[in-house]
Amino acid sequence: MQNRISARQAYSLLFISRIISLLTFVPSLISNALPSDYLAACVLGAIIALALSFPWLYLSVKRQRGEDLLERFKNTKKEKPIRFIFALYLLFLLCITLSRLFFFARAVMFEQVSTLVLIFLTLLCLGFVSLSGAEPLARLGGASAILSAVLIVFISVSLTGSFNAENLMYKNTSALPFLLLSLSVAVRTTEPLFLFLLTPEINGKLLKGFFSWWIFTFLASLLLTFCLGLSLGMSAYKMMFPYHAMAELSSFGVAERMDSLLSALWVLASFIKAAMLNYLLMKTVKEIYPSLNKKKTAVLTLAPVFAVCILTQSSAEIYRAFNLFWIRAVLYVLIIILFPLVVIVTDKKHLKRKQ
Amino acid sequence: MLFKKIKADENELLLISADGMCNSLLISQEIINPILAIDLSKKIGEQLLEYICLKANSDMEQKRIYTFGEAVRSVLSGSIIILTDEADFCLCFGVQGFPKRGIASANTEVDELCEHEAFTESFKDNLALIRKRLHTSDFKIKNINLGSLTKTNISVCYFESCAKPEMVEKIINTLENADTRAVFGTGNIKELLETGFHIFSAVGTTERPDKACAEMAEGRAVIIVDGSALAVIVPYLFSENFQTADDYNLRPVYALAARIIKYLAFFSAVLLPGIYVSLCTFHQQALPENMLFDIAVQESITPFPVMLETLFIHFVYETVREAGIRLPRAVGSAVSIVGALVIGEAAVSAGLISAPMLIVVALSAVSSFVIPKLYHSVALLRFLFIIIAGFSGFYGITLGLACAVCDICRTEYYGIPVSAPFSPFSLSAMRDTLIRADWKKLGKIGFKIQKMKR
Repeated sequence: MQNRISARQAYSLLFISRIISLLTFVPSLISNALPSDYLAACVLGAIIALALSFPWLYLSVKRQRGEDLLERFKNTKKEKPIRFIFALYLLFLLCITLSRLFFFARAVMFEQVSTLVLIFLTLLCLGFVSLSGAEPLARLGGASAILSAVLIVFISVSLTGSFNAENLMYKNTSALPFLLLSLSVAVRTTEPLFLFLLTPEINGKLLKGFFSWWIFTFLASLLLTFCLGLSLGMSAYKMMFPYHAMAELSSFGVAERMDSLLSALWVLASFIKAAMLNYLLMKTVKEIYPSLNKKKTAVLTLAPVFAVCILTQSSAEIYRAFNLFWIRAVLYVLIIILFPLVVIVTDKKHLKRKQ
Repeated sequence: MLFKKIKADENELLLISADGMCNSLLISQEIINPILAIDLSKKIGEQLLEYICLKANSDMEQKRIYTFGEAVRSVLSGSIIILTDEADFCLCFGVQGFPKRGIASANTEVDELCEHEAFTESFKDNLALIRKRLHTSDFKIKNINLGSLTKTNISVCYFESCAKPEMVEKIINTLENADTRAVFGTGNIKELLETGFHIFSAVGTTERPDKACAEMAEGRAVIIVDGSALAVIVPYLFSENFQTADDYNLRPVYALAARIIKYLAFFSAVLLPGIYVSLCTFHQQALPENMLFDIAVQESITPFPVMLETLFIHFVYETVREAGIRLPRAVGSAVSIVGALVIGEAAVSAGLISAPMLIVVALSAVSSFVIPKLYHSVALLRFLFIIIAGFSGFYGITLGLACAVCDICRTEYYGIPVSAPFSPFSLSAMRDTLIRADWKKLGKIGFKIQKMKR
């Protein structure tokens, strides 16, 4: 295995990551905006996310050209703390992804199954896929992205029977819920950091693929949100898993209730996102402790995940605390916006001083 | 070991052969008689052997041997050697006459519309079966002796213009450097060439010489092992398991239908029992009402949970299958009938298993026979999916499937991923993967395995 992936495969992984972020999004937890607001918030949120992605994108493109701006910190006192912060952030995202997956699995798919069995099985599979390396993971991601796109279109088409145009007629008079919703959409776009961390493994042009990725994810999320608003209307905001509830209404010929298809997509997408995060986490930990072997690194990364997942599944308060919007927002501002900006600005200053 | 001294004029010659390995008639008619008939006076040592070489019957394989080890190996392979005083080498004539099976029809790769010839256990016959199809000097053979004890003859065959030299060199190096005591068949060679544990192998086998030739034309190497009726093919893509020789003799549209059936059968063989367990244990809402009611009635009278029931009936099926294969053919079919009728029917009547379960097992078993090369991998996966489904339903099946796909994606052979041409994707290769394009296109383009390299 050369552990090299194409830009298309990398963006497939990021597409999967965005799709699962959308499916697990519960708008009612953020604000009391209406369906029509949510649709507009999706558009505005995606544009904000695009704008805020540029610093990391710039760093990724530079890194691919062999001008890694973070190289300056190598062999300095700052190197390990920076990597440690990245590792903690990835661990946090991994725990959120998995705890949401387990919550969904237990609440929607089957209540009678043991949490311990679910967590153990998932982490076992996660360890296997992450240890296989970037190449098999990206290939799996590529196949899943195609499958996801087909499923999204299929579910949307099969929902046409339950569309009601009146569901999108309500209008909100206050701008604050709408803005809050838009920001929450943007805050969930952490993929530029993943792109930067994946860059050494990527073959091919990053910049061209980035915009295609943004357009595809934007269209997919717009399509799903549009279907959600048209089919469920206001009732979508009273549900824990609105997209799943929407899929329950779908029918195609003799086949009814496509929610099983959406559940499969949900599990697969969450698993691939978690595997990607775990792979990146393992890579970061390995950079902090180069003497660790692959298997030990996997144990080191999955052990805290196991503990957090057990905790979040045993107590609703801990789960809620872990999923608080403001925690994500603060971390997003610090790591996705401020950190790359600081790196770029200091680099420019450094260059000026040199000149 | 047979030692025979013959005196021709004033010279003494020693003939050495292995008892039972040579054709005695051939020795007397084609070697001894011509030697006695020619004038060997005034010839001694090497000159004498050169003269015999020149005058003796030239139809059979003959070579000069300079080392003791090679002489021993040749004699033990069924050749006869001729020695004389004052010569640095000995003459070796290929007069093999050991008992062997004749060329028969293929047993494990039965195809309706194509050639029926299959490899046998005879090394030379197998090479001849390949060579008679390839009238080109581009076809190359590299011979190796493998196994410190058995010194088994192995030939690595390839087309010089198609196979990548690095790949061939790597295969030869792997085999030459293999620290193995005995080689008795392709099984040993396959494992020597494989790297790590994977569910699906990157090394394939065939018993059809026509398939071996076709694989070489696509840039692969074929390895013939003395004493084995199978040839090893490297590298072997996962999608090749769904291709049969018949596909290329049927019209494209029928070949496409056959391929679709094979892919569907593969998924049915692997997943059907697991999906049934999931549906009955966790996801009853996904079943139509009438079917749910019927299954519930049937399952309510069985004593075991659905997962245990499925595992039990699959275990019975695998046992009956194994017994049917190992027993003599006449008894084997009787065992199958006993297994199918007596155990299946009696178990349903006794209420030990439900009728829908029997249908699921039968369907998955029949499906697994559609892709016989993958049978063992499919059986293993099937058991795994039943257990996973019993504990975590569709959730576990999705994760299991993701891991299985990941395992296929991480399997590669000298840089060629087994998952190709699906991933890395190649549109041109799809002409002979998902579909079978017509020969006008296939013949013109010519698929090469090296193109699959990422």
